[in-house]
Amino acid sequence: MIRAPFQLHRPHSIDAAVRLLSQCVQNGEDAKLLAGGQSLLPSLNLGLIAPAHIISLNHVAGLDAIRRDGDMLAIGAGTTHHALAESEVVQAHCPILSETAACIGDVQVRNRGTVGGAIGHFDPAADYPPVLVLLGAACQIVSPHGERTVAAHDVFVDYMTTSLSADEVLTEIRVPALSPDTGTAYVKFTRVEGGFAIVGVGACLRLNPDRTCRSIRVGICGAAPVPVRLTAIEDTLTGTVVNDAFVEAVAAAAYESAHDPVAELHADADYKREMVRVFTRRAVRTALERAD
Amino acid sequence: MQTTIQLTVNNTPCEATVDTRTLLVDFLRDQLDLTGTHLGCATGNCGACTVVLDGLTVKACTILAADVTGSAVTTIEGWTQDTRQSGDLHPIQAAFVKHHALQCGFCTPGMVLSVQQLLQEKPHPTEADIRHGIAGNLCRCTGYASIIKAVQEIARGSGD
Ligand SMILES: Cc1cc2nc3c(=O)[nH]c(=O)nc-3n(C[C@H](O)[C@H](O)[C@H](O)COP(=O)(O)OP(=O)(O)OC[C@H]3O[C@@H](n4cnc5c(N)ncnc54)[C@H](O)[C@@H]3O)c2cc1C
Ligand code: FES
Ligand code: FES
Repeated sequence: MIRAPFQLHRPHSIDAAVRLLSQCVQNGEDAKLLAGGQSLLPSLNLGLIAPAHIISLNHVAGLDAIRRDGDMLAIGAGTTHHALAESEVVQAHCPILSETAACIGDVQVRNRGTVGGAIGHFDPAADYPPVLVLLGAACQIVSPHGERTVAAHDVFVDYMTTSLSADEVLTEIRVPALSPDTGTAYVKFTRVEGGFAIVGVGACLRLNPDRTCRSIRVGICGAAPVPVRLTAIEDTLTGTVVNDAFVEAVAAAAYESAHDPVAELHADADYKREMVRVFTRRAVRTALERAD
Repeated sequence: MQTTIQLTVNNTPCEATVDTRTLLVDFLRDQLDLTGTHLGCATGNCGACTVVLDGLTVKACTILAADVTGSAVTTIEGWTQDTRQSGDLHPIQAAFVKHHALQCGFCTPGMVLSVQQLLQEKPHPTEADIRHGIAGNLCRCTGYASIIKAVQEIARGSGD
């Protein structure tokens, strides 16, 4: 059992959740939102955090909806990794997101953990952030002051720190429906099956009819405390011939971008930089194989 | 803070008063005496606490009992109810015994529930599928090779 006592709230609407959260903030009381609990419960069990209030989002209907909205996909913050991986709409229009969801943790973690919780927790090794950044995803955020839309790039600000303030709730993530000729891949380097990424690289590639690069986007986790996007090389390479030198140029730029990897027990900074190069190469190659 | 919850556990509806801090695994073990669900790490890593919640496997140490009121839970006891009554072993249990897929048995209830979920979704898993399917269950006795053999035999025997 968790040692520190807390009050559990189970609101049935986002409005009620936002109200409860802002009341706690105004009263100077520490409150935490609870989604899948796959990051929050371990922290509570270990006594790393001891909030006075826990506000569960698991009783808010519709927070797990996935819908096509014009040229975007709108994904409810409460969508589980499992539901995202299995969603036919996501598989058809943004396959990189289902591929990413399918490689998070293990079956049980995917059955319970949510995309909103993964963004809120923002582990530097988390798989969604680099992919959301490369896709140019937008996050819908609600607070007592209203609603705002923030680009994923501006959500992930520093090591385990997002730009959400204490009284804000993430409700939806919007990603572009990709053109069917886009080749996409998310590849992940882990020590063991089911582990967190040492390095994770996402790539989206579109070709022109003459096989030159129409567009390329790359997002990386493990290279720095926040996701890295290779904007400069993406621009430079657009319009050029896609060959081995092209792949090497992206991999070299990825290596250069990895100036500040978070060193960990099984991978020091130098090793991580090298793995960033290797896995960027693999991601771009796989995206290329899938582009036509 | 105390609260009343309603859960259907192993097909039996139950109502209970719990402290809101109670983890689902503790509720099952301490209040319902269903000690087949084990508690290993309490950090979501080992899978010893695996149960089936509304049809999907979850780690019961990462869930507040009070947060899943209204849900249906199946534990290893419920899952083996039918075969225990008839005195037989379930095919998964029989294959585990045959291939020595358990040593101390601590991981086994969670492992078996993960295997049944895997076989439900993929009756003929490849070795990679099996490894992927049991990634959330650690075995400290490192019986993975035997566990994989057991699952492969069940998959072969399942006919269709
Ligand atoms: C064994 C294990 C392996 C894992 N492996 C991986 C992995 O390989 N890759 C990976 O990316 N992740 C991994 N995870 C983490 C997993 O993806 C979690 O699901 C995720 O980090 C948190 O999602 P959750 O829904 O469980 O959120 P919770 O744990 O409920 O919440 C996490 C945080 O987000 C906040 N939050 C939740 N919902 C919202 C919201 N709507 N708005 C604002 N804030 C919110 C909470 O207050 C809390 O601070 C792993 C976890 C475990 C236990
Ligand atoms: S006890 Fe729940 S995962 Fe280890
Ligand atoms: S049999 Fe001992 S932990 Fe698996």
